[in-house]
Amino acid sequence: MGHPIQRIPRAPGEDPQRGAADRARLLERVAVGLAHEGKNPLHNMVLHLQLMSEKLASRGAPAGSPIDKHVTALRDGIGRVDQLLKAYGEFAAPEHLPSDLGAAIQRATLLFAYDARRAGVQITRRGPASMLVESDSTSLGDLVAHALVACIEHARDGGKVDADLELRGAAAVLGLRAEGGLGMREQAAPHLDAARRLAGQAACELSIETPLAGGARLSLSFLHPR
Amino acid sequence: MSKARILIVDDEESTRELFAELLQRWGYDVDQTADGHGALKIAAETHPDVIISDLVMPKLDGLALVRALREEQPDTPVVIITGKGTIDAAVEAVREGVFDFVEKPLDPARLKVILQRALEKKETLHEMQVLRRRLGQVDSGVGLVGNSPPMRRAMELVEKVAPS
Repeated sequence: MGHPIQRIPRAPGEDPQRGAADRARLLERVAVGLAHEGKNPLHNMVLHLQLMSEKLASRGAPAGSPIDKHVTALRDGIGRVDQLLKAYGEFAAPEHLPSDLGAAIQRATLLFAYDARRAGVQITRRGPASMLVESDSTSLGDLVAHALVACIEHARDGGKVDADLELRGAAAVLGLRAEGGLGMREQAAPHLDAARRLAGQAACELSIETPLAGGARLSLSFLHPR
Repeated sequence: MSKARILIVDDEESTRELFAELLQRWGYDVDQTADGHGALKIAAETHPDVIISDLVMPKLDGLALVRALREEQPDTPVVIITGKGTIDAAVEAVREGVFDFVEKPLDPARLKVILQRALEKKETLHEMQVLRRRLGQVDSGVGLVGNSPPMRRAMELVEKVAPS
């Protein structure tokens, strides 16, 4: 009856970071699944809302009634959840996306908005929503995400992060500036290391300044295709 | 004038039902089925004016349905609705001959416009077939009216522009 349970011992010299990498691979799949599966209930909610508002209109409910406000609020909510799901899906599987620096920083601010709020950091983003660059979409998305998270850590507990995207001649430049707050340099360090590693793959000229007085300034410069 | 007929193909029953109710409110006759095999069977019987299909379904999925329909009913526009809104998926769908590709969650106003365009295309293709048939009759000597070179040039032009 049954088989004795055997604990498989950890192989000697096994890299503990490998376990983390294996888990990250699973999380990638989870995010893609979440992004896809979440769309069906949202789709049904949209259909319900459309039917509801058409039925109300056919019963002569005046436009701008309190129920209309609820319908509008629900539509907005569905739109926000949809945007989040899309961002999860694109972040987890970016290989088919265009190399868009504007979309990458927009996505990163959306995905790490909760992280920033929890850390007491305010993020402000300026510049166009889309700016194509000569890069690889996977490295680009990861690089921007690590750079933003590093800045959040540098501004932790009361600071702010400004993200400015602009064209300077043939270059598309994303400037990230973390100011104020107490900051947690040691928590930012692994993300800055990851950003340095990714910069080459992403064809990015990266400069990092971390003044002793606190804060951080990062500049991510890419060629802008003409 | 009879109502346009739309076939909905989706493996989620609740979605199908909601969709059917909405399209009926918009004035269409609606049939529905859960997968591509069912869609082929119903399409052969009812000859829908437009088919709206989910992309990912068990058995025969949305694109396989489009490929199968290309043989049976090449003039029936198929609109694919999907949660998998990647550029690659859209390109593949268009390459397979899909009329339009709509991302979930649906934008009802956009769907209304797409359905109007799809029905116009279907109508244009139908008119073109009628004209072709008439032209064939002219060629075989059944009718002589309109067999002049200018008329033939006009018919050639109709054939060129109709698919667009």
